[in-house]
Amino acid sequence: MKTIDCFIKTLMENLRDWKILILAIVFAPFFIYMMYMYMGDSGSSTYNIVLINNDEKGKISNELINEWGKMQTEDGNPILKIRVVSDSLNAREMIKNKDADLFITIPEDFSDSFNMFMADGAGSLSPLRSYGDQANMKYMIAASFIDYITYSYISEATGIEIPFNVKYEYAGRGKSLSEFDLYVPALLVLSIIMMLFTAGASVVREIEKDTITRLSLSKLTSAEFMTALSLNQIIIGLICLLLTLLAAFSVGYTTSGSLPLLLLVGALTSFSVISISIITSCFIKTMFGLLTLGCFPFFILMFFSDCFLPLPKINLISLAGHQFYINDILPTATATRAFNKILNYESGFSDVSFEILWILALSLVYFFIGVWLFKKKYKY
Amino acid sequence: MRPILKAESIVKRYGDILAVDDISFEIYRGEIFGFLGPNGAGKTTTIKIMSGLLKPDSGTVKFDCPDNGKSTGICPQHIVVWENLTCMEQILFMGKMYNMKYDEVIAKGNELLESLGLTGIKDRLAKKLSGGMQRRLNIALALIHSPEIVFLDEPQAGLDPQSRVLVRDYIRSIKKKTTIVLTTHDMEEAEKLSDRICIIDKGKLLVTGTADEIIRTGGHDDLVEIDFECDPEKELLPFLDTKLLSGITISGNRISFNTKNPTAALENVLKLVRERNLKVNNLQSRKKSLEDIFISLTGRRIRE
Repeated sequence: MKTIDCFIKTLMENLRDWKILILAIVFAPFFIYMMYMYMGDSGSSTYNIVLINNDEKGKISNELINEWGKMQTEDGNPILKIRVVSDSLNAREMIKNKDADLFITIPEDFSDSFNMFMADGAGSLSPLRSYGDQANMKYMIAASFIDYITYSYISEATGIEIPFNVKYEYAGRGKSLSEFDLYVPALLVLSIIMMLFTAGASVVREIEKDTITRLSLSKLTSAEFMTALSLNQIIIGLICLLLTLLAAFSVGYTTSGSLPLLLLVGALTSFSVISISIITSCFIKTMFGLLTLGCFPFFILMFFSDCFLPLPKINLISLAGHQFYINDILPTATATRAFNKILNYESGFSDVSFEILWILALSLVYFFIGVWLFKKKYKY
Repeated sequence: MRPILKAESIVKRYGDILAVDDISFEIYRGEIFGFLGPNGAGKTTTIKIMSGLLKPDSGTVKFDCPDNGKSTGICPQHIVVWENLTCMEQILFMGKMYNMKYDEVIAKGNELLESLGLTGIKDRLAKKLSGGMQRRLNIALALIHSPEIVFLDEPQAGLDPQSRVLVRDYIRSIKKKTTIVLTTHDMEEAEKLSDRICIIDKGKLLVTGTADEIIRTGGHDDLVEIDFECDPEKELLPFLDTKLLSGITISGNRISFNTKNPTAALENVLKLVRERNLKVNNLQSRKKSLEDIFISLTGRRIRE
């Protein structure tokens, strides 16, 4: 009963102290719109190619360029955006500045070498020159596309059939995913990570105003207080999650993934983030401290949860056929994976049951550490 | 009389600082126990230990009440309220945190708000109350669960004169049902309200007793204070017959002394004043107050 009363009181306080709440709720949907504006609907599937064609009059080179330009997404948008330039130095500068992903040079005798090959059946075609930044993920993809189309075209034009073929099959929901689609699960996790601030504020407010003294003297236990706080924050977490998802839907994101499953993972992830927030709050005494020192766990969760930065997989242990990586000690890393499976691969409960159990286990560990620390510090 | 609280040999250190130095005392059921001491004397630390908020390094605090001191009330020195809750909401919340029933909390809450002059603003958020109102709410929150013993740490600090009277009357009115431990900087208030007083300084307990008992420790002498235009140390003291006087102190142009016979002592002094043609700005002879004893025990005024 005291837990419910404490829950109502914390909820009222959160609603009345709306600034931090609004910040937490609006942050991730705002990011959704930012990401969408940056990547666009299909922008993530477009690769910028700069081209110097030294064989402008050659039939073959022009046909090949035409073939490259024909490659489209399912929505009919071009995959390779080709820009013809004349200055090689300028093209290389564009690669360095990431204004282009791949720089292709067609040699002057490209068409002639093709014609000679066709006439004599000997020799080889003059090579295309490809230049790009290996650190740019898009370079590798663009180069693969160019290679694939070029080999296919030349194979067809020469009538030489390569005794090998690849059949492409898309994972999950049977269509290609844009980079924006892949970011949506990460942004949902981000919306929950923002709970660090609202949950932290609920604890730190009691410490800063010393109302924790009143609570300590009352019959409310640390576990009851933390449970009330967690329930309250889980609701806020789910609201953030749904608003972020709605924001994604509003810009064209689609999924047939299970909403109840998404909410279950969302609730558990919120619980884990709140537990981490409780631990953090035990070392902070003021709201100022929360908004400065509190950023440290926020950034750790944000950057080491596979939300935005692709991290190298450092294996920790292997258990029951599952690999545990070092960043799996952050429940949000597992949550990113689970959200991705549910939303982008439309996985069911059995597919994400391991992730659910792992997040639950981590949440409980962090929660009990938080309660223990809190009790040690504030409940003599 | 059976003590409701018995503190024995309490010691508390903060690093190298000895905040409470082996103090022992008893507080009796239904009394107002005044805790006096200058700033940094160890009052708040002792109260925190008594209320269970702080663990002493050594020593014990024993309660003789049904809940063994688990439901003490505390009104801290600073305002401790939930800014985003109304007066009634926080009273209701605190009552429930002490397992009180809804009707019980409402009745007790209304009584407290009425007694402390907060009825008209019971639905106002605490952050929108004046400092004085917040202080009164601070007191109400300490008393909502009708604790057997309540610690009021300077409850009247920052209150206007009307509110002080209101709070003083309320403290008196609950005395029968609740044992009150009161710290204050106001000697007059302590003398008026407390049944017994204890003076502590530098963590040590200096004296415990009723106000009269403590004043009597300073003897039955009257205190005479004379303010001169000149320096009494040069112009008066070398020629003064000190047979009837004791505890002569000079502070600036003021000379103070104790005497069992103020009439005779003053006659001697005034005769000398006339002979030496000294100008007296002010003269008073009075019984010793608690503050005088406090200063003589601690060597400083309470507000220092």
